[in-house]
Amino acid sequence: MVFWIVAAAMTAAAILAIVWPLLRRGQAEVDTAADHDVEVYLSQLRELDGDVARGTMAEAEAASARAEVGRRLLRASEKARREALTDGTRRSFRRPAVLAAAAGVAVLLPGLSFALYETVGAPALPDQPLAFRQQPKPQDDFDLAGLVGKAEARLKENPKDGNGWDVLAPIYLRMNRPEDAAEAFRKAIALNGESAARFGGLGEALTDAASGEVTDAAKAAFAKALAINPAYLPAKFFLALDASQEQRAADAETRWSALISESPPDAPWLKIAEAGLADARQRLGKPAAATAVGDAATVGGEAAAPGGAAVAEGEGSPGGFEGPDAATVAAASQMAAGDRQAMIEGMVAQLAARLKQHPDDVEGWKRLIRSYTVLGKTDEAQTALADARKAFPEASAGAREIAAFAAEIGLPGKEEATSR
Amino acid sequence: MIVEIGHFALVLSLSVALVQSVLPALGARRGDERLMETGTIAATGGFLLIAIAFAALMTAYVTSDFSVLNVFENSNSQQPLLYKFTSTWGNHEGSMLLWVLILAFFGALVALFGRDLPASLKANVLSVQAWILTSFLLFILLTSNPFQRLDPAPMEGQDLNPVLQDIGLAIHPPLLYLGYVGFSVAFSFAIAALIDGRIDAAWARWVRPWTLIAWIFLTLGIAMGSYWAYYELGWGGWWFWDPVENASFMPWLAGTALLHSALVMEKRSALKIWTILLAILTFSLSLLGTFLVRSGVLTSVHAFATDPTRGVFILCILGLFIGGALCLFAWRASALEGGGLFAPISREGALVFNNLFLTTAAATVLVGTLYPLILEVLAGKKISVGAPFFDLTFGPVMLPLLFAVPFGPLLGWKRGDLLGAAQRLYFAAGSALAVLIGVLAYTGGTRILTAFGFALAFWILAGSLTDLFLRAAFLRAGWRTGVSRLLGLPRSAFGTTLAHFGLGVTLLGIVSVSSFQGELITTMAPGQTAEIAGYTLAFDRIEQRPGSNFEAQAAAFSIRRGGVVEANIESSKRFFPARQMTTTESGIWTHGFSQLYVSLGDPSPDNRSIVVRIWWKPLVTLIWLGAVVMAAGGLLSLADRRLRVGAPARRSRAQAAPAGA
Amino acid sequence: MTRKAKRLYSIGAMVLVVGAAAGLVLTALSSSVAYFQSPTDLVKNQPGPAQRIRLGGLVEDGSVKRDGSSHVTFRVTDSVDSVPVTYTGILPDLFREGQGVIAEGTLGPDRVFVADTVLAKHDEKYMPKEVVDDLKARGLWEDGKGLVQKPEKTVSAAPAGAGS
Repeated sequence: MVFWIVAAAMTAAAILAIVWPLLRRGQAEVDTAADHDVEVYLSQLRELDGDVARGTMAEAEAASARAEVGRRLLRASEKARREALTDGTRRSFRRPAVLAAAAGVAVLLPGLSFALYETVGAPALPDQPLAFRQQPKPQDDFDLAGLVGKAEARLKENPKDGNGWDVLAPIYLRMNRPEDAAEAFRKAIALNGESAARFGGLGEALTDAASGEVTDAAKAAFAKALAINPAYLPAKFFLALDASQEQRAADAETRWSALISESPPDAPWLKIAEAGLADARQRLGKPAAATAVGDAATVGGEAAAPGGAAVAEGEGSPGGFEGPDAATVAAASQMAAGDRQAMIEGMVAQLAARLKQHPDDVEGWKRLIRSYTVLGKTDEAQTALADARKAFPEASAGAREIAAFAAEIGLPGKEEATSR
Repeated sequence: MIVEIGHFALVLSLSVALVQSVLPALGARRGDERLMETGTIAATGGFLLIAIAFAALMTAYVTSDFSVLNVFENSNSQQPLLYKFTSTWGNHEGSMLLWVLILAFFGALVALFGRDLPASLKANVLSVQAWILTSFLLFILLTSNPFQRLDPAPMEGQDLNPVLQDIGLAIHPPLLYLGYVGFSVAFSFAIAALIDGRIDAAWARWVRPWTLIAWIFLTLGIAMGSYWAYYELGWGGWWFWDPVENASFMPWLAGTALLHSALVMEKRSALKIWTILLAILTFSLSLLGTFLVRSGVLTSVHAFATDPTRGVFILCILGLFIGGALCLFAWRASALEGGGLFAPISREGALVFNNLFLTTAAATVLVGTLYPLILEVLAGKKISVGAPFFDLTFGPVMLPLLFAVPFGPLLGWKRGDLLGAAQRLYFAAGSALAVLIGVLAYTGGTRILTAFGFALAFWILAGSLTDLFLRAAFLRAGWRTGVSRLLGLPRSAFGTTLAHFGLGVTLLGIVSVSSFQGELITTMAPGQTAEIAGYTLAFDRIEQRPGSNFEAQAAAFSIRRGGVVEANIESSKRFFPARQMTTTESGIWTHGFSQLYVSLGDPSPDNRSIVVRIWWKPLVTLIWLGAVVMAAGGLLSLADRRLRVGAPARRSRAQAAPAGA
Repeated sequence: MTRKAKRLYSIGAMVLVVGAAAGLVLTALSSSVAYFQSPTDLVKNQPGPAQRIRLGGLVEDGSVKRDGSSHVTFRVTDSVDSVPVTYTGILPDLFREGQGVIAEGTLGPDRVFVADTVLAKHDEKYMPKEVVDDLKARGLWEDGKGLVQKPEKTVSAAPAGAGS
């Protein structure tokens, strides 16, 4: 509201200022161009004397220059006198025409401005400076709930709005309302047609609704998603998860390793996939040596780098990016048996021991720090980071890589954020 | 809300600019004072509105409001405060906003300080300014809106390009834009004169101060940019003939020509038509520069993100204004009156000579800059035109001009005495000759070109002082009278001398660096030393150090001469995690006018040593110092009170008969 | 001198200056410009050692070798052909394996490209334009997506990971 008042005030001020001279009765006397010419020529004449005195012009040249300027001066002053006498060269507009112009300004200025602003502006959007956003945000949740409420109301009026369902469904999923999400995805599929993302979302919602178990209905949805887009990774993830859940170890192993090799390095599900693969191998009696996070990440990192920007852009538009998100990760973690956790920790401990003996392994350190972070052991991660820094001479490539890596996963960022 | 108020102010300024495009011009046609008056108000108000918009964007940057897409893409909450400010124009959208802010600023200046102009001329000028303003505001709002929002706001921004996180960036673009855009005033005056079909004598008086202002800023802006590239890119070069550098250099060349031809027009009412053409060309080159930088047709350090629609839009603006202006010129120029007569050998003649060479030089730069683009479009071949081309073309064109510089101010108006001028330059010629022989002796007669280069520089330095010296007549009148005569000289005389002297200073720096620069690329480990130009550079230590939004790897060096430590410098590499990018911070030790420059390369595979590039750059600072002196000369000239032409006194109106004729 | 003669005189001088400048420009354009070529072009055309060339492509993975001083060799590839390059000096900050690069110099008789200038991208958003155009023409690059095909790198099936 305040915004509209300020905008209106600015517009009104602009209109008033511009229209003011137009409303005047009669007009002030203006000098004609010839008057100004006379003045200029006069000062040119004055300067000629100075030029001669300083020797920048010879006396003979100055005389002819005086004659030149004099002729121009005569002509200009003649013209000025004529204009002054007649005063009629001016055919200024009559008052109604001027008033019409004023009215035009008064209509055009606000009309054009508000119309254009309507198309490009976002008047309802408040400023969101950093200081504001860093506050604890009950406000934000309220806002989200409010927004969802508004969207729901709109959809109630117009339930055939497929796009509305499309936007709302993943939000439900993220708000931990899986039943609603499943319903929304079904409606989106019915109204907007079938797509891998929608079926994937549906499956995810059904899985969430069953407390993380990939039900048969969910499996069917994922199968449909894969039928539409055979490269749709989230669906593959859940199907692999299903294999693990049903303890089809051999199937799980192939599915998990296929998923790992196809995933981009920053895929949120990688850690779970690795744990799942390790678990499956253990069941099969193979050496449980599957934690290739570091390797997969570095190798894949180069291959997928150009796509990074696209993902970052996707974050801006709600509903544009639907992969397994935090909720899914959580769901899958629930599935993970306690012994799996113990196994991972055992592996990490082994790695830490090895690094104590051979501290010059950059990739090893990275893997260790990442593992600690994934396990939620921030303190251990910090210690490992400090150890890693000690292991490499300052200014070496290794130290730089470690620093970059730490920055990437957000380890030192915390300290800096609080100190600023 | 602040952001949206800024956004609305920008939209409103477009409407105001539209009004300003129409009403004053209409008023000028009919001699209606009321309509003309709206121009003054609209220009001032429009400037205020754009200033509000700019302030709003800056607020968003300073508070890291990432709900503004532009802020999110080009800044980071960890940035130091200063760079949060400068980030505002460190990107395409923000810098375009700065561009129009400055355009509106010049419009407001004309509105406020143009009280002594004939009312119709002023109204026309303001309308033409508004045409330019309108098209660029449309460009911003339709293709590059800095106020585009992002909801919900991301937690962290993507950071400003680290190369641009430097104090140089804080100053370089605003100066450059003040220069570029300042030429719009001369352009608007030229178009107004063409529309009116007559050149007011007052215009002749006005075009030079306005051009001077723009020229001063452009000179400083280019020098600043050059120095920034020198120390920030870590390549040790101060000019790369990069297309974007050329984009600012071409308007400078044309603007310098305009400055000189405007002098003839102001003093002698001659060269009017040529001056109008030059005013159009200068601003056209500024627009061309904007197009080249913004459209993504070329890639360079400065080129902003590419977007075809933007390129097409600016191309349209470019075509409209340049094409329209030239058509108007072709149609109207023949109707304009010619001015005073002069002999070929005269001050006017010398200024024509200056114009001829400067515009030709600008043309060679233009060809070198556009040829690769044209060839790619026509023949599909990709070539690059670099320093060798410009050394071969621009250099030879400038040589005669540089040689002629000292003659100009010594020639009389209308008819000059070349022989007399030459005789008066005996001291300058003598000093140049002495330098020539000195350098030849120093280099053992091997560096003939170098020797001539130094001689030319000293010829200009001494030659430009000659004029003042003779005018004060120290030899004839004794120094006491001489000083009083010197002080009595008009400031513009000092301006000329200073500007030409600055040119000599820059030339001296260029010649010195390009002939006596020492360069050493070597691998060093802490504790090792390297020898360059009589100095010993010791690599003391290297350390990792956290910065505000980067990690620095800083190498400390000490410079010794004869065992005594002269200075300590530090050169570093900065790693910016937000962009995964590294920059080089060169270590520079300034000794007198010379500099020792150290930049770091990559560490060796075993991490024990690092590649170090060391330059000894004799007199390198003179290059930029000369530019500052030139700008100071311009400022002095601007301060000359004779340039201010008062409004006609009302009372004398009826009997405006000349008193002095 | 009459007015007419004066005019002829000045026009003549102008033509002279402009003509001389045009001559200079033409000479310079034929002798001192560098042509952009991709590694494939370079292998196919085999230009002489006098021709300046801008070689553009990607730095081949694993090809960068430093000999401990400021001398570097690497290969530039467009995923069809690749050309060995030698360079002495400091590489730009953003020179990395697998990234776009432009090397300017000449092709030596031993078919090793001797670069005197190496340019890399200026930030992570930027890829040398010539390189992008060239890759686009071969269908290896898509707007907005970047590089669509890379020399294949397979994930090792037998991971040597933390547990071993």
